[in-house]
Amino acid sequence: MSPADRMPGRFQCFHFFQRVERVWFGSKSKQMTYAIETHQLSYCRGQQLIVDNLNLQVPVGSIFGFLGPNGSGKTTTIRLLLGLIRTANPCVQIFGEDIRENRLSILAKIGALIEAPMLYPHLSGYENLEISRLARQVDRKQVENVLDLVGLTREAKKRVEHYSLGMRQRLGIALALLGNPDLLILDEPTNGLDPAGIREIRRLLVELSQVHRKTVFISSHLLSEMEKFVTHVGILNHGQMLFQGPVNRLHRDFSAQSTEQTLEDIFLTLTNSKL
Amino acid sequence: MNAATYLIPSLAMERLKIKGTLVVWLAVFAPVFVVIVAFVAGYADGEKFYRSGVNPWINFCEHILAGWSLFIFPLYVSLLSALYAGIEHQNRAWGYVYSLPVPKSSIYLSKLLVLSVLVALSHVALVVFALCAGSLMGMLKPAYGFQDFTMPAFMPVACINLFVCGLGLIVIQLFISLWYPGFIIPAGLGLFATLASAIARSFPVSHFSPYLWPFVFLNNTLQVHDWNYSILMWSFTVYLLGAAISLFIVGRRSNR
Repeated sequence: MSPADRMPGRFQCFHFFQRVERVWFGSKSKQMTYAIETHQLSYCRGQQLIVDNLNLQVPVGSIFGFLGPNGSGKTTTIRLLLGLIRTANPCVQIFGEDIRENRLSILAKIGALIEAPMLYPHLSGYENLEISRLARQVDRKQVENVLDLVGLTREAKKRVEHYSLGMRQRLGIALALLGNPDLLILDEPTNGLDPAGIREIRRLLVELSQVHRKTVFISSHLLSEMEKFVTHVGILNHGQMLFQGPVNRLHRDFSAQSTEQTLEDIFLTLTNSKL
Repeated sequence: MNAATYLIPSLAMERLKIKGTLVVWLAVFAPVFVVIVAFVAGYADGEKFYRSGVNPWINFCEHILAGWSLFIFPLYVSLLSALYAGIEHQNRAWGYVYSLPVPKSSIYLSKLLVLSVLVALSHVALVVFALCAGSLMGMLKPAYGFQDFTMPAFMPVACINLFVCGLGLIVIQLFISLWYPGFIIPAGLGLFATLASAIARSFPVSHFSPYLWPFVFLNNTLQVHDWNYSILMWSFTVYLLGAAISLFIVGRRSNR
């Protein structure tokens, strides 16, 4: 039975219990515990199953490392979370709201960087940010603030076609930060950055999470770097979640008794054993 | 928040996106091209076209309107829409655009309005450049008599009406350009439709083609009261229907 056939019955059952929960306990019951929550999220491209019954739970205020080998479905999952890909039953909730019913209010709370930054090379860095500022209808001062945060104030007036890879990446992060979003979805945000830049972004993300209670959902292949600051991880392979939860639980569950394994070791063990 | 709350910033975003691109240059170049061709033809062979005592502006404007309505206008809209949509396609920006808190309807409508305004400005440019070219002709070739007469009133009236006749083809080309990533397919389809319509223009069935409506409107005459005004209604209807259909289809499209 395909996921599409399995889903409707379970989806209806889940929604019945969700309505009972809301009526009995009130509408605020665990809605704000998770910034991102999916229920049996599945997606097929033709005959290929890309995402398979994904039940993602990203706690509010966490730095969630979304890990997986190439082709595991990470970017597709991110696109599903943002509503960029249509499915029959998306089952995605962002801060307790359904993405289908409250698209604009949800997107106003999200800052996203998907794969490479999508920039207009014929415009300057400042103008690229200005486009986002107009869309988010925020104050002009925020553009200067985010430029300062990512260290691009001096290069703001240069056209993006003259930017280096690292500068483009910084501008992509600035675009995600504009509008003071509650949720940051970052796909390989440190791609192209030098070690100082990587450290700076790490420091910024930790501050956003710990001081400003932002939720950071980050996908990256730099496992050694991720291990330094993520609080939760989700490991995806072939569209299925192999593990999801706090980092210390990952180590507790998968490290050998006498030796402490790194995130990379555990990741490779999990993903290789499921091939 | 109402629709205008999103549409106005969307229009400002589009204005920024086309800054310094070929889109704006084409809106100026296309009418300039037509006027230059008519000017060169008139300058070189004016003795054949312009008779003494007869307003030479009439023949000059006729050449411009014929070239513009039959070939250049539909080709120009095809190229313009392909270039305009290419700003998003080439930069893989659709995923980013749709991840912004802006209704998809505002995104589409702002693009349609900007494209329509650019085409409208091209028609204004056509009249202005024709006026400048005719005045220049009067200085360079006084024997033709351009300096003794004025541009006839039908020229600006024709340009306004031709713009309305082109609304149907604007919405069709924009949809094709938004649907197909890249430049070749939208521009190629527009070129094919323009040439096919022009070649088959003697067949009545070709008059249903929005790519031929600017030409069909003029009805092979410069007499304002003999123009085919029903085309205006057809074109405006297609514009509104096309916008509604495009909103529905483009809004439901996935961005993988």
